[in-house]
Amino acid sequence: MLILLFIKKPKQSDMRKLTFLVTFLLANLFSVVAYAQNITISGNVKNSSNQENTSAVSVTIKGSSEGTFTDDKGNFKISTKSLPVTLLFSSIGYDLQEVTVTSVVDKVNVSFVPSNSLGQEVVVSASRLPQRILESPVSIERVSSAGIRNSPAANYYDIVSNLKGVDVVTSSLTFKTPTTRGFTGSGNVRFNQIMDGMDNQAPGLNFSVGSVIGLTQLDVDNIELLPGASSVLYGPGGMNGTLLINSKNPFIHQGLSFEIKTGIMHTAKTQRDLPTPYYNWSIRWAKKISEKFAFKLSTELIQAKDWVGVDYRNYNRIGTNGNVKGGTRQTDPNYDGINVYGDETTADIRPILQGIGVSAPFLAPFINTLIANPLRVSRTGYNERDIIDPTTLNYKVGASLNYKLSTNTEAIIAGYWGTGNTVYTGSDRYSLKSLKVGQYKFELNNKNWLLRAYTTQENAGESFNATITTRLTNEEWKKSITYAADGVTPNPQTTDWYVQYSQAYLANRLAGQSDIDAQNGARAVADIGRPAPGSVEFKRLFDKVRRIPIPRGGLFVDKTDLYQVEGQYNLSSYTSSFADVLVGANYKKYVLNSEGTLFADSTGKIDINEVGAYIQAGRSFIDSKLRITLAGRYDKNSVFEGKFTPRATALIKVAENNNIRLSYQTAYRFPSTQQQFINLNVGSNTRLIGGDPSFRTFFKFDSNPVYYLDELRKTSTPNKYNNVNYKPESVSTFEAGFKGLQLNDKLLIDLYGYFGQYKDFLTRTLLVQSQTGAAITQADTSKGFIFSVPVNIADKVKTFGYGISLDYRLPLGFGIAANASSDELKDLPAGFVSFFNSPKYRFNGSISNSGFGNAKRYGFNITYKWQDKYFYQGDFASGNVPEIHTVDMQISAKLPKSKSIIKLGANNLFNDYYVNAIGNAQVGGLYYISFGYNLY
Amino acid sequence: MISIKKIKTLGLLLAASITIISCNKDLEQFPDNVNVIPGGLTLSGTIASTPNDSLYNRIIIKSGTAATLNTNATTFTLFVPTNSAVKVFINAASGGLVPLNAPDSVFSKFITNSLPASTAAGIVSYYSIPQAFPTSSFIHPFPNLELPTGIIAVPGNPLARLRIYPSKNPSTGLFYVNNIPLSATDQIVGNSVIHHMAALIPPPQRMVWERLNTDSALTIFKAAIIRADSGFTPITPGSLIGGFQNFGANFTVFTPTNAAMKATLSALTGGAIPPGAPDAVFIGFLGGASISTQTVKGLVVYHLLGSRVASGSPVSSIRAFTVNVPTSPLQVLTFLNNPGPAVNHPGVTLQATFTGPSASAVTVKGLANASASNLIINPTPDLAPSYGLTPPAAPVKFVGTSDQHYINGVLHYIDQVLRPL
Repeated sequence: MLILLFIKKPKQSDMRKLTFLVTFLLANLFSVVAYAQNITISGNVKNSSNQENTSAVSVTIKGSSEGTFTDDKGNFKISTKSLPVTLLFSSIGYDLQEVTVTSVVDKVNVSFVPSNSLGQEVVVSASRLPQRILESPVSIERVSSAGIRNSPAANYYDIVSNLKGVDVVTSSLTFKTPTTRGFTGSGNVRFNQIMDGMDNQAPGLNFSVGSVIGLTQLDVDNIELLPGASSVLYGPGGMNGTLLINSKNPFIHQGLSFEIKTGIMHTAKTQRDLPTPYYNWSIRWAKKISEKFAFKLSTELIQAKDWVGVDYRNYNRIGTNGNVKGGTRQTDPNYDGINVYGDETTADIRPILQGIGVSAPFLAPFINTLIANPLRVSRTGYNERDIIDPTTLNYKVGASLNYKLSTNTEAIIAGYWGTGNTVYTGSDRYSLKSLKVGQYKFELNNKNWLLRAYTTQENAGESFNATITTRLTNEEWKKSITYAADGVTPNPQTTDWYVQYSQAYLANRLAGQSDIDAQNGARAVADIGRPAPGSVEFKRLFDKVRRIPIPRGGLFVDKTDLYQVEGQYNLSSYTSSFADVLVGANYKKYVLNSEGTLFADSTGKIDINEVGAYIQAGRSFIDSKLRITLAGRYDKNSVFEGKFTPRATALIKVAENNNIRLSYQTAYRFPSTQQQFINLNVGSNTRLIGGDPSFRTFFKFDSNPVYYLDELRKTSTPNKYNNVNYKPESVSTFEAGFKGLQLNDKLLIDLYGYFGQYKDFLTRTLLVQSQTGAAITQADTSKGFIFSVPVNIADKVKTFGYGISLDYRLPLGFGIAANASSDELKDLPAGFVSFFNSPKYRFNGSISNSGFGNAKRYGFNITYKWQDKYFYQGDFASGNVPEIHTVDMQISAKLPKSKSIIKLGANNLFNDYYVNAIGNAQVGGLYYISFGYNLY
Repeated sequence: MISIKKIKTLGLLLAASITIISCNKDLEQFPDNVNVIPGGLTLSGTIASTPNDSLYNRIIIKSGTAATLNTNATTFTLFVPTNSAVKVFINAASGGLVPLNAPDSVFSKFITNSLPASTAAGIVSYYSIPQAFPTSSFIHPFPNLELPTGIIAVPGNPLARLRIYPSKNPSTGLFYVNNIPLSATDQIVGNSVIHHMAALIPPPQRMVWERLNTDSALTIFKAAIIRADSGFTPITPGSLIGGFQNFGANFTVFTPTNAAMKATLSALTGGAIPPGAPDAVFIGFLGGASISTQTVKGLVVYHLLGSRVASGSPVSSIRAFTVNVPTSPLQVLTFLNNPGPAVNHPGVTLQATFTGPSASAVTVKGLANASASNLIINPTPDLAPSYGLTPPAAPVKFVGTSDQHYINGVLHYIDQVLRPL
C-alpha cells in the first residue's frame, strides 16, 4: 500500500494509513525517555595485550537499552538508577566481557582481551537489518576500520579491489571504479555506491564519486559490499552490486585523530621527468558534548602528480567503437593515438588535391595517380601529459551534528563536500578540474525506523573534455578547413592546415618522395608555428578553449542535482509472531542542468522523477535452522513504466557458524540520465544521444532515416533503425553459497556460485544518417552522421561465476587469506558491445599480522593480486588488457605512549606498470610513509 | 630468538610471493606500417654502371642531381638518352664542333667542361617524373599522359612544374615521351623505373605565343588570333593570346601557313583578294569589318585540339605530338566545342602514317574541307638561342614545322586551313 501512496492519487483509506504512519512516527520521535538516572559509573578499558587505551568499545547495562562507548582515551561514563548492574563490554575483535558493578567508589577498569576469532562481524546491508556476517542470506564482504588500518593500500578505496570478485577500473590516481560480476568501467551505472546512506553517483555525470568526494579515510567505520543484484533494498541501479561505506558515529568514535602520509611516485620516470611526491593528510575530530549531542569534523587532502595515460598505440576509431591497429605518427598519416588528443580530427585530402588539379589542370593527371584510395590525414595531436593538469588534487570535508532525541532516536544533520582535479574516462578522457560535489542529509534514525532526506549537488567546475578541447585548440591555432558562412560548405583557404598539408604533400610527391615521406614532410610544413606543448602560447590557446562550453569549447557545464527522501520501518515488534517485516519507500528527483553542454537541456532544466517502495518479510523455521526472507520492490520513473522486482532468500544452518545460503534476486535499472538525455558530439562525426523520443524528431529520423552502421559497413545492405522505444533493463540471479567456520573456528570459508540472466540489456549501438538526406549508401559509413543511441538487446544475456575465499588465523596473531573468483558472459548477440570487461579469473592472497613483536607493536600486511587478461570495451577505446600482477605491502610500528603509529607501505611494490582499461592511466608504484595519531 | 624466527618466516613468505610474480605484460603491439626502402643499386648507381648510359651519367654528375638519384628512398621515372642520343644532342648543341664520330671521351669532356650545370640540371630534371610510371601506365586516351617533371617553372612554387608527355601509340604500340621514341623500357630500379630514349631534346623554354608572334611564316594566322581576341584584355580568361602565354595552358595548335591562309581567305572573299596578294592585305582583311570576329574566332579555335574528360564536361586542352596520332582516322574535338556541351561539333579527323617509330605523314581534316590538310613534317626542335655555352651555339630557330614543342603546347604547320562549316 505504501507503494500506492507514491504513485497515484491517494484514496481515503490510504490517507488514513498515512495518518497512522505519521502519528506512529511522531509518537516514537517524541517519546523521549527521561534521563532520570542518578548513579554514574565511570571506568576505563585497556587492551589486555598491550595496555593501550581502547576506544569505541560498546558499554551497555545488561538487560536494558542503556549504553555508551569509550572515548578516545578508553574512558566511559554510564548512568543507572540502581546498583548492582552488569556491564557488557563489546567490540569487534575482542571477546565479550561482563563486569558486575556493585559500587561507584572505584573506577571500573577493564582489561579487554583481543579475540582472534573469525566471522564475528555484524553487517547491516544484506537485509537492512543488523545480523552476523555468517548469517547473511546473500553474499557479502565487509572491511572494518581495523582492516583499513592494517591494509597496505594508500587509500581505503583501494582495499575494495582486494575483496572477492571485485574488479576496479583505475582512470587516475583518485578516480577508481569498483564493481562486481562484470560490466567494469569508469562510471559503471550497474553498481551502486552508497555513502552514509546516500547514493553518491554524480547524478549528471553518472559515475560514483566515492573515490573523489566521499568519506575521509579516518571517518570510515566500515565498508560493506553486496556483490550481485541488490535493487530490492537499495533501488534501481544495483544490478551488479552495491558498495556501502559507512561513517563513524561521533557518539561512538570520539577524539582527535590525524594521519600524515607522504610518499613518492613515478620513480621509473616513464611518465614524469622526475619522481614526484604524494601527500595524503587527513584529520578527524569528534566530540560527544553530552549524552544527547555529538558532532564530528573531518577533512582530507590528497595531492600528487597523477598517473598518465601513455598508450600511444594507433587506434582505428569508428564512432564509439574501434580497435587498436599498427602504425605510429611517423608511419601512419591518419594516426590516432589512444592517449594522444587532437589527432581525432581527420579528413580525406583528396578533394583538396582535386581542387589543386582544377586550379592547375596540368597537375590533374598526376594527382589522379595519387587518389585512387582515400588519403585520410589526421591533425597532429598532443599527448595526455601535455594537456592534463599534472596535479591531482582531492580535498574532502565532512561534518555532522548528531542529536539524540531519545534513547532510540538520533537526529543527524550531515554534509560531505569535496573538490578536486582528477581524470575520468567516459566516451573520452575528461579532466575533472575543480569538480565540486556536495551531499547533505537530514536523518532521523530510530532503532526501528529511519527517515532520511538528502541531496546531491554537483558542479563540474572547470571540467573539460580532453579530446574536444585539444581538437578545438588545434582549430584555434590554425583552422583545419575554412567553411563558408553557412558553416557547412567548405571554403578552403591557403591558411588552412589541410590546404597547406595537401600542397606540401603534393610538392613532396612531385619531388619523388615516397608517400609516407611526403606525408611526414607535409605535416612538418603544415605544423610550422604549432604551439609546442608546455609553451605559453599553447597554454593560452588551450586555456581559452577549455573555458568555453561545449560545443564551441571543451568545457562541460554540469550542475545537475539529485533530491531524495526515503523512509524505512521495521515492523517486527508488531509482526514478529508472524514474520519480521520491514517496509520502506523513497522519492527521487533528478534535475539535469548542463546548459546544453552534456544534455539536451539548452532550453531549460530537465526533471526526472522516480518513486519506489519495498517490503521484506523474514521468518525462521525448524528451530531457526531455516530462515526464509521474501522481499519485493516497485519503482516508477516519470518516463518509464513501473517495475516490480522480487527477492527470495533462504539461510540453512547446517551447523553452528556454518550456513548455506540460497537466493533468487532481481534487479533492474532505468536508463541512466545520460542514456536518456545526453547530447554530446564526441568527434569523428559521432554524436552520443539519449533514447528519449524527442531526439528522433530533432535529428529528423523520420524524414532522413538512420541505419545500423555495422551492418552497412559489412554488408552494404542498409538496415533501417525503426525507432524502437527503449526500456529499463533487469537481471535475475540465482545464487548458492556457503559461509562457515572450520578447524576450530580458525578457518573462515566463503564460497558462492551464481547464474544471472539479463533481460532488455541496455547497450549502445551506432546508427548512420546521410549528411545530405540522399538515400543511404555504404560510403556514408565514413562520411555520414553517426549516432550512438541506447538500445535494448532482445535476447537474454547470461552471466555466471563463482568465488571462494579462505581466511585462516595462525598462531601469534598471524593470518593468511586468499580468494579466487571467476565471471563470464555468454549469449551476447553478435555486433553488440556489452562492456562486460571482466577477467575470467582473479586471485588475491595476503598474509598479515596486526600485532607481533615487542609488546605486539608491529604489524605488516603483504597482499598479492592477480587478474587474468581480458578484452576491454569502452566508448573511448577497446583492446586487450594484459594480465596484472601486483604486490602491496606495509609494515607498521605502534608508539603506544603517543598513541601513534608509523607505517611504511608500498602499492605495486615492484613498480610494474599496468592498466586495467584501455586508454586509462598506467599505474606504477606508490611508496609511502605515514604517521597516524589516535587511529582507531 | 622468536623475533629472528619471525623475520625469517616473513622473509621466506616474501620470497615466495616474489617467485610467483611475473612481470606485468606490456600492451599488445601491432605490426607497423613499415616504409620499406629497397636495397640494391640506386638510379644513379644503375646508370653509372650501364656502359651505354655513360654520357648521360656525366650529365647527371654535371647537373648536381646525382645525390638525389643516389637513394632508393625516392621514386622516379627517368627517361635516359642512350649514348648515341646524347652525342646527337651535343653535336647539335655545339654547333657541330663536336663531331658525331668523336670518341666518347670527347663528348664526356664536353659535358664536363662546356655544358653548363644549369643546362644539365634542366635536362635531368625535365626527364624525371616523380613516381614510377612503367609503360603499363602509359595506357591513356589520345593523345598521352601529362605528368609533371622535376623542373619548377615558377621559383618558390613547387607545384608549378614543366610537364612531359609519355604515351603509347594506339596503332603501333610503340612508346614515346613527347615525340621521342623509347628504345628500351621498364628497367626497374628499387621503386623507380628507367626508360631509354632514342633522342635527347632539351626541355622547352618558350611559350607557344613566342613562336606565333614572331614566326614570319605565320603572320596571317597571328592576325586571325589577334582579331579573335578583340575585346579581350590580353592574358585574361578567354583571351587566346593570354592562353598562348600562360604557363599552365596546354595547346595543340595547327598553324596554317601564310600560303594556306591566303588561299582560304581569298576563297572567302570570292576571289576579291587574290591569293597572290601581299600578306598585309590579308592581315588587313582579318582586322576589318568584312569579316566578323566570331567567324575569325571560330576559325582559329577550330585549329586547337581539345577533349572532354567526361561526356558533357567542358573541353580541356591537350598536347598531341605526331607520334600520338593513330594510323586509322581519329575524330578529335577542338576548342570550337569550348563554349560548353551544347556545342556538338565533331571536330577534326587525324590520321598518321609511320615509318619506323616516327610519323612520316600526318593529316588533319576539317569537317568542311574537301581534303585533309597535311602536317608539314619537320620535327627539328625549336631550340633556345643558347645553352649557355661559351661561345654561344648558333640558335636553331623556326626550322622545324611539326612537333614544335613549347612550355605550354605543341605546334604543327598545316597546308590548309581547317574549316568547321
